[in-house]
Parts: sequence; C-alpha cells; structure tokens
Amino acid sequence: MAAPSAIDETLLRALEAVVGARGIVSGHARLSTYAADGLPLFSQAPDLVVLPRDTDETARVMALLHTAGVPIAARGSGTGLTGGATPAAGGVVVSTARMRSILELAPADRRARVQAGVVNADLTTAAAAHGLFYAPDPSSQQACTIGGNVANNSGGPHCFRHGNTTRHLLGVVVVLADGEVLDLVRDSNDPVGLDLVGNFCGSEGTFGIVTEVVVKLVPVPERVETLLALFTDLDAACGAVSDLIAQRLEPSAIEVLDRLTIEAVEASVYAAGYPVDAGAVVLCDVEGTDEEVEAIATDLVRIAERNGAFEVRRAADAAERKRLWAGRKGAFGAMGRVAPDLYVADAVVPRTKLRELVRLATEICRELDLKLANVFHAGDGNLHPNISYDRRDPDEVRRVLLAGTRILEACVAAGGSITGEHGVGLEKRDHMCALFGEDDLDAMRDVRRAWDPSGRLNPDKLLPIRRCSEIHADAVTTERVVPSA
Amino acid sequence: MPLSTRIDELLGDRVGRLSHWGGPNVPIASPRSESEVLALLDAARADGLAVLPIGNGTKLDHALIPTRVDLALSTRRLTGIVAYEPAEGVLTARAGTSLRVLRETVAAHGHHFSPEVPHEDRATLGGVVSAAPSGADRLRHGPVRDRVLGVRLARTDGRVVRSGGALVKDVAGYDLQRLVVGAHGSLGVVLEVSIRLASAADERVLVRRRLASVDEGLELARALAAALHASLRALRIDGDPERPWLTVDIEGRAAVVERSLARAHDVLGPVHVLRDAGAKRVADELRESRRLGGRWPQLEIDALPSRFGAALAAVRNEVRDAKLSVELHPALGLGWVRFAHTPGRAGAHTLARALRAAGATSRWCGLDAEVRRELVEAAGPPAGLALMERLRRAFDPTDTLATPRLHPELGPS
Amino acid sequence: MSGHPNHTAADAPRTGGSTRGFDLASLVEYTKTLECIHCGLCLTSCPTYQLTGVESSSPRGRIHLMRSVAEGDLEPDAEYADEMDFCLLCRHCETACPAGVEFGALMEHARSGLTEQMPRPPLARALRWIGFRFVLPRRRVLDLAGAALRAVQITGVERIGRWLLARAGSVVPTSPRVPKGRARRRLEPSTPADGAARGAVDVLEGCVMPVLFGRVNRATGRSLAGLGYESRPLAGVTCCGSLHAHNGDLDGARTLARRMLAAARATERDGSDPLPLVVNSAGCSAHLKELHHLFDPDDPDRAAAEELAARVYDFTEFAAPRLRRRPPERSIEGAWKGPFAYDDPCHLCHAQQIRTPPRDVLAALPGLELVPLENSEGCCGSAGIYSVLRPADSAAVLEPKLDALERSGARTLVTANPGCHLQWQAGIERRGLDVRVVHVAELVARAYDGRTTE
Repeated sequence: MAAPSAIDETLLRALEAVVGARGIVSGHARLSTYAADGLPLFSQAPDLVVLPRDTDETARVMALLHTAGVPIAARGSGTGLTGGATPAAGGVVVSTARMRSILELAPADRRARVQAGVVNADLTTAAAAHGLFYAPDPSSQQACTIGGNVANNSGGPHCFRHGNTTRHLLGVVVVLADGEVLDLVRDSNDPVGLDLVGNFCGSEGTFGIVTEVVVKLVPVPERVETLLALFTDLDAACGAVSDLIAQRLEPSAIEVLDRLTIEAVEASVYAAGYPVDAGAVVLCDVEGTDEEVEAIATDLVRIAERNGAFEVRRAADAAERKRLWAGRKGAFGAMGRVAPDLYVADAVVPRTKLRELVRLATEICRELDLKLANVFHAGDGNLHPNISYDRRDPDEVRRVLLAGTRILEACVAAGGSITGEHGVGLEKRDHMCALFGEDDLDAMRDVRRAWDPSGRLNPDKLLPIRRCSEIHADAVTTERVVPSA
Repeated sequence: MPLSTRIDELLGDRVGRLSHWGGPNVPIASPRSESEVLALLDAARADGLAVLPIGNGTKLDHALIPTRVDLALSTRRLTGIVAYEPAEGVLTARAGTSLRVLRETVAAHGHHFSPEVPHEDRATLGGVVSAAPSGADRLRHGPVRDRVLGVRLARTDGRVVRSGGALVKDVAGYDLQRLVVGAHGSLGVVLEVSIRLASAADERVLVRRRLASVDEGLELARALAAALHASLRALRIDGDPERPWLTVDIEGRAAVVERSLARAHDVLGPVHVLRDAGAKRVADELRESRRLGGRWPQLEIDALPSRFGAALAAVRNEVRDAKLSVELHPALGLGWVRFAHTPGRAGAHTLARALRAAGATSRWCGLDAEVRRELVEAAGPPAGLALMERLRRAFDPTDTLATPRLHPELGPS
Repeated sequence: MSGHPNHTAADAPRTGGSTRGFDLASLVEYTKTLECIHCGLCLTSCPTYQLTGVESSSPRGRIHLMRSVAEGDLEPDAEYADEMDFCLLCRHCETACPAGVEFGALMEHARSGLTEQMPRPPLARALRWIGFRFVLPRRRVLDLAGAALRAVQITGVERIGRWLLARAGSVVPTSPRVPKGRARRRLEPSTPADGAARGAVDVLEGCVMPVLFGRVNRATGRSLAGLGYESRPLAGVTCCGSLHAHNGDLDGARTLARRMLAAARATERDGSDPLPLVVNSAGCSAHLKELHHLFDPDDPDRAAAEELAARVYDFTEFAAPRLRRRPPERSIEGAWKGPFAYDDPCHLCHAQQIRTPPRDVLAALPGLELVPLENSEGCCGSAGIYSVLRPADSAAVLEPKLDALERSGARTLVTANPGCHLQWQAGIERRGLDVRVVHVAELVARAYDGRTTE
C-alpha cells in the first residue's frame, strides 16, 4: 500500500550537497525514531530527515522538496504533545536541531535574536548575564526549542503573568513551502501591513518553517518568592485558585498538583519535598519589588487559608524554589512511574469554573476505569488531566481517547477551549469541530491556503480534513475519536 | 453617484458625511444590528460598491485613505456589553461600544481597560481593534494585539467568523484575530471583541518635571526605566522640545508606589507630585492631547529604544526652524511630533528618508492622502507583501472593502 | 485501578547475557524501556545528540530502537549497532529523566544482546577478546603491555606508525603516555596512617591505574594516611569489570565480579565489620556499587554484591566528611598553578549523584582557588575505551568542553577518574593550552604531607 517514495537518488544527492552528509538521516532504523513526538500514540516514520544549519540551507532544502512535491513536517526537539511533528506518510522531516546559535542579545532593547533550534532554557541562561530572562517556560524548557515554541504558541507556568509565546514574539524569519524566505523581523513596535508574525505564531508547522526568531526579554525581578499552599483535597485547591483570580491577585504563576502527581514527583530524581500527605497543593510564584512581593504574598496566604488551606509554606531559599519548580516541570515525565504511557490532556475552562470541571474530569475517568492525575496551570484555567495507560492494551487506549474527548467536550460546553498551550496537531484536529463552526474553519482554511498554496506543510493537521457534519455523525455511531492515519 | 435602492433603504435617515474627518465625501451607514451589517455588505457586493468600515472615525487617518470609497459602514450603533464576568477578568462587547462605557463598567469591578486612547467618548472598541493605536498605558499594559482574545468578523460574502474566544489562554486554531487587529477594516467588519482586562491599580501617582532639553529627558528616562520598570505605567516627554516636560506615571500597590516614588526622587530631584483626582485630571489631559494630531500634521516615529535618540536627532536636523511640539515615549521607542505648518511633500520625503537612515519607521496623520501613499511606497515593500495581498483577497475576493488602507499595493491593482 | 500489568523496574530481575539466554533477558530489559514516556527531556543532556542533533543519537531515540528490537518491529542492523556503539554511556540522561529510566543498565544489556544478535567481524572480536579477557584481568600482562607501549613511545616507533596510519586515512586514537618504570611500581601491601590512626580501609588498585597512574594510587594512599587511615590494596583482583559491562561483555563482567566478591570476602575478619573499600576511579566505584545488576535475584552472589556495594566509597565521598575532622594545613600553592577548575566525571555525578563531596574536598585545601567550569557535568568524551574505539567522536565531544576550560581561565583541571584524566590531557595538548590535569587525590596528598606527586 505504500506508494513508491518520491525521494530518489538525485534528490538525495542534491539535498546532501546543501546540508552535508551529517544533515541527512535515512535508513529504516534511524528514521523510525522520528515517527512520533511527545505523543507516541501517533506514529508514522518519515522517508527522510533533513537537518539544515541556517535559513539559507533551509530555503534551498525547501525548494528542492517543493519540486519533489513531498509532504513536510517541521520538528524542533520533538517534545510536542499532539503529534504536531509526526510526519505524513511518505513525508520528510525538516529538523531545526542543528540551528542552535544565539545570534544576538540586545540588552538595551531587551530582545534576542536566535536560530529556531535554540533550546528555550539556553536562551534564559544566556540572557541571565544581562539581568534578563525569556519568560515563556514550558515544562519541557530544558529540551524544547524556541522554534517549536513559536510554532505551538507554547505556554508554561509563568505565562499566567507573562503570557504565551505570542506576547513575546517580535519577529520571525520563515521559509515558505516553495523555499521563499520571509524576513518578518521589524525594528519597530508596530508592523507595516498585516501582522504576519502574530498570525504565524501557533500555526503548528502548517504555514512555513521558522528558522530565526526575535523575542522580547524581561528583566529578572528584584525578588521572587515561592509559596506552597496545602489542601486536603483537589476541590478546595481549585476553589482557592478561582478566588485568587476573582480577587485579581497577580502572582506570576499559579499551579495545582494533586496527590498522585506529588507521589510520582517525589519518587523521581526531581523529588522536591512536596508533602505526600496533602490531597493537593497550589504552587505560586510571586515576583517584584520587596513591597510588592510582601503585599501579594500576604493576600495570597489569607485567600488560601479562607479557602481551606491547612498550611502555607514559603520556600526558604533559591535552592528550595528551584527544587519545587524542577519537580513541577518533571511531573509529566515522572508519571512514567505510574504506567508506561501517559496521555496529557490540555484543555481550558473559564477560571470561575475550575472546580466543577476538575470534578467532572475525575468522574469521567472513574467511570471509564482510568487512572487520572492532575497537574495544571490553574491560574489560566488551563487543565492538564493526565491519564496513565499502556499502549499495548487496545481497549485501554480506546477508553483513554474517549475520556479525552468527553473532558474536552465538557470544557467546551462550559465556555472553554480544546487546547491552552499544546496545540491541535493530529490529536485534536477533529475536536476543532466542537469549538468552531464550518464558517470559522473555512476562514482558517483560507488563511492556510494563502500561506501554503501547495498544502504540503503538515497536511492533515490542525484543521479537520472532513466536514464537521460527517465527523459529528461518525462520533455518534462509532465513538471514534482518533483521526484515521 | 446614487446608491442602490436596497442600500438607500438600509441607510434610512442614518446618513452622515465622512469628509468631516478628512476623508472623501461619502454617505455613512450606521446599521443597528449584525443582520443589517450583513445586508449592507451583501448589497454593496452586488452593486460593486467600495465599503469603508469605520467606528466613529477618530483614527481614520491612522491608515491610508482609500482611493475609492462609495460608502462608509460605521459600527457605532452596535453597542453593548455581551459578557462580563468580573471574577474572570475578560470582557466581550459589541464593536460600537465606546471606550468610556467600557472603562467605567470595568472600573466598578476593579479592572482597567487598556488601551487608553484619545477621544474616549467617541472611540469605539471596534475602531481600537482595527486601528490598534498605541495607548498612553502601552508601557505597562502592552500593545492592543496582546489584549484582544477573540473577535467576530463579518466577511464581505456574508459569513460571520469567530476567531479566538473569551479565554485568557487558548491556542485552538489560527490566530485570525491577530490579522484583524490593526488591519483597519481591510479584511472584514469587526462585530464583537473579547478583551483581556488588567487589574486596576490601588494607587496612581504622576510625577512631573520641567526639562532643559529633550536629551536631558532621554537620559533621565533611561535611568527611570531601569529603576522602576514594573510599576511604570508611562514615561513621556512632551510639549515644546526646547523646554519639555517629563511625566512619570506610576501605579501599583500603595507600598510599591511609595517606593517607586522615592526612587524617582533619587533620579529626578525636586518634582511635582500629583495624586488622586489631580493625577487623573492631568493624565486624562495628556491622553487627549494626541487628538490634536487629527487637525495638525503629526509624524509618528517608531524605533528600537536604542535607536530612538538617533531618530529624534535626525528629525531635529531636518526641521531646525519649524515650530514643533512633541510627545515622546523613549522606553518604547515611540514618539509623535506635531508640526504647526505642513512640511510639504518634499519636506515629508526628506524626513522619512532621514528617519529610515536612522533605523526608524515613520507614519503621518493629517497629511495629504496622496503624499502619504507615496511615502509608504517610498519605504519599499514590506516583507510578505504578496502574502498579505493573498490574505486580503482570501477574505475579500470581491474587493468590496475600500483599499488601500495599509499599503498602496494591498488592494486590486 | 485498571487491570493492566503495571510494569516497573522494581518487579523485574536485572539479568542479561547468555546465562539465561537473550530472549528472556531482552524481555526483562524490555519492561524497563516502558518507563520511558517519550517526553524528550533527556535530549539536550546527551553528548551525541548535542553533536549531531539527530534523534536516533539521543537517549529517547536509542530507547525507541531498543524497544523496537525487543518488540520485533526492528531487526538489529548496522544502523542500530552503530547508534548503540555511538553512545558514551555517560548516563547524563539519567540525571535528566523524570521517569527514572535506568539508561545505563539498559544500554549495557542492549550491547550485550548485540554481541549475539550481530556478531562483530572476526578481527574486532579477536581484539576485544584479547583486551577484555586476556589483558585487563591479568596484572602481569598489563605490566608487560605498559612496558611495551612505553618502549614504542620513547623510541619514536609510535609516531611513525601513527603517521603511516593517518596517511592511510584512519583517525588514530592517541595512546596514553606511559610513565617510566619507577612510577609504575605497585602499592605496598599496607600504607600506615599518619599520626593517630582512625581506622583502616581497603583500596582498589585497579587494572590500568598502576600502569598509567601509579602516582595517583600512591597519592590516594598518602591522602588516606593524612586522613588517619591505614590502607591496603585489595589482593587477588585486577580489573573490576566495568569496561566489560559498559561494552556489552556481561559474561566477562560477571566472571570478574565473582573474583571481586571472592577477594572482598577474603578481607573479612571474623566478627568485625567489613572495611570500607575506597576507589579512586569514578568509573570503577560506580560499577562496584551496581555490581548486583549482573546477578539473578536467586543467585547468592547478588546478595553478596549488594553487601559489597555498601562498602564501596568513591575517594571523594570518603574524604569529604573526614577532611573536616582533620583539616590539612599545608598550602598546595607552588605545586600547581591556580586557579583550579573541577570537571565532574560522569560516573561520579550522573551514575552516583556525587557532586558536592569533590567540591567540599577542594574547598578544604589551603591555597586552592576554584573557578566554575561551564557544563562541568557534560561528558568529556573519554567514556572508558570509547576514545580508542571512536576517536573522532570522542574528540568532538571534548571540543566544547575545551572551549569552556579556556573561558574559565583555570590553569589546573581537577578530575577524579583516569579516563577523563587521559582525555583532558590529550585534548589540552592538542590545543596547546597551558593547563595541567590532576586527580583530586594528588591535591589532598600534597595538602597533608607537602610532597609533590612523584
């Protein structure tokens, strides 16, 4: 059934002439490692992987692949969680993993220009020398790339205060499907014409391949405090967060971890001293001047306590803060201890409805006999119900996907969204119908066609490939939620 | 030119004249409902008319004035707050809702509506989103594009599309709203907008000091920006460039404001300190002062903060004798220079060239429409112009919306 | 609770190799790969991923390959073998892995499986047999080999040979410089404590240590003396088998492990607690602490190995707390140029999670100024015999470390592992830097007795 590959010797030689022998990955075994990103549920090995070293090489590679007419999936570190970097059948992966130079740090203008493959945490490390940092901090920040962050409009705990990637993005250099280079870096506050940079952010590899990025850097706050409020149950913790939002309190991060998550973290190399006897904790960072930190922290303690916190701890020093956050960020991986696979759901609810939706998710998983752990960006209403499973058990896989769908539908019904930071990718392509009407999706299709008239960039992702009416009909009859490969 | 009967019916008695704002002399339709908007668009498309979407026209000349407009479509009568849950910090309102109404509504619940722009009584939400002006509070609350969470947009073919939503965090689908923000109505008619609100500050203080020169102000601004960045709402130099004022707008929790005030004293020495009602009155005056640009030619300078001083020097170098007044936001790299006399076509070109050489972008208001088109053209095509035109065509394949607004080449050739 | 089998490493016996047949072993090891949930947090910790940016050269990629082989989706082929060989087994990924995947054990077993799945060419097999089974376990052969290598080096024959090989297009590993015969002398059966004795310890003299780093062994004895301990080299063992295990020769490793256990038993005196076994090579101390991985749960040697593990101390781990009780007084100034930088051996920081003790030791030495070294936890590329097997890759891994060394401004680089020692020396020489490499024990010895390393 596999069609003969469009990649012939001539094309291979031409590509190799551009990127060198080490810039090409071929061969069955090695290619198989590119079959999935952080969501191994979707798996499809590419026919070829190309690793250009800069914009110019990317442009030449894309032009060659354009002529060959093959589908292309862009990939950074492959830490995405929706199959966004999973190639289409017969496709080529263009990886930015060899574009790792920080091109410019401009402290006077608080901005940085980096190649797309620069690792998120490395940028913050480099900026620290100037008293600055890069604010978006996905939990995978020690591995994920800035280019990947741009493609997914990635978030992170501290995006509660600072906002997702899009609010920090000042410019991109993009290579389009046919190899045309768009240098959308502006030395001004407002772009001339349409805001292409803003539109590109979050396009999940369907508009073009980002090769360079200019981002805003933020001054390191004078002081940061980390507070940990302990609750007997998850419900009370969610209630406390809703109250914090209603009181317009502005810490820089508000996270919730439940008991199962805490147990997994405490058993891992990221053990941080989370109390294993608490039903849930609310983890907050407060930053600013001394006065600001004190004022916010005082209010925070008061609000937490009136919502049932039985203890509020303050991290004693920078080392403890670091441990608590490392534990939070390692939580997803630490769940590997609970079961071989983990389904990380990503949904958003209005922050006034945290409590009822978390309750509902728990209920759904209980009904389907699934193990659920919660660790999420509560301050943004961004839920991450984490369901453990074993992918070798087909029935469990089916139940996991069903639970995922039901949770998403409940969130949408409550005025929420199907993704807060992971994106749509392959996984949630059909769920777009739950959130948008056909006219909305058609407008998105129009925009996509304007960027990529060839339709070869991450085809079959982000937008449903069938009409929503068909998908709804299918869902009713078969409960099928996995897009057919 | 007589408009079609259908449109005349829809216009009824709601007709005004656009020429008042320096635009062409055309009728203005102000539909009362979304269905009327759609009917108007449909009729205009059928009759091949060019429609210019507007709010109340307060920022009309922030963009290019189209070469052909048959009809202006104002959303000023589509008013009202659709949803505002104070505990959520998000507001959704119809496009014609005035900024004053929005500000007063949310202030009652401890929220602040950004941006702060002139003509607060008349400026509409849809207009603010379409023109995306820099508010007086941009330093603290960011550009308009960062606050818009979602829009509903009428396409010229009658379809209404939604992008984004009323959630502070949401990455489902493409960010069409980012295309709509600042598009000056070239993609469709904005019907409804969801906005992320800011928390209102407990305290606000204005610190004013007379300066010996703009350069002194730039120097002080650098020091102030470093010392109190988090609590700074605005940092501006304004007035006569020979003897300007420096205004430091500080807000936050009481203790933070006092600390920042002390730091400002350290940098500035003796200053006027305005609090409470006094601060609000002066801040409102300052906010409204930019509306003068509607009457006098006004040059907007947009540069990286590190190049802003050089850009100003370039302007001064070119217009040594002209009488000017300025409003400068050095921490942002944004500034407005108002001219008492029109600099003339050649003068405008010279200025634009000098600013480009200094690494700055410039835009004019209140200058002859044709000269402004020339100036934009002379700056060379922005990267992605062809893509922008593909996007525009995708939204408005019948060229029903009046062009050009953003660039002379964005429109039917 | 759902009904699926909940596989964790704790349930699985950690055996491998041919004692039980590879099929069973691979199944057992397979369950360990299931802990990996493909999150990718390990990627940037991996030196070979840093070098190539290629997923299959990352820990996650390699685990995927191992799992594919175990599930029968992938036939082990040359590509697979190459990715397994390319790994430095530095175990940096274990420090990054939130799921606690024991990558080191996985890789040892994958390599062991490879020797059966894909036998190497006869020449390579013969050379490995000579190295692992004939040379390393035999003191006398090692001594002879050392002497022969020295002869080749001082006569210039080596240079000619290298030149010829290089002309033929091969990347030639640099052979470590063998010191003269006097420096290769063995440790005395006992080195007494200085002053009041606080106790006695066994020390591991090692296989290549006496040949190449006899001075470090003696410095270890002098340091222990200064700390108040009598030290005795463990009799009857030469090589601990760590190189065998890392390179997939689990049978060879097991044989040597049994010999080690027997030697350890021989030191036990009736009634008294067994003595600590102090090891000055991080690779060996790491291996000895995990020796039980080689044995089935029902094998009595497994329990013995666990007991031995409790006796094993890395030198820095042993010295750090005891230095506080008996602080050395002599300044180390003059013997080496400051400032000093410490580079964490992978098998100390990642395999044993020992990071603070070496730094505590250095902080206790009078006259030593320590400067930070960027990425000190990154692998230097030595990785046992890796630098011999894949010299080009090994050198490439060291390059950014050499850059960091230059930026640090250090004039003396401190390590705690012979492989790293040689690798740094070779790299520093290649780049022409004025930096010396020293084992932490050499510094401690000097601070106690004022003598320079001989």
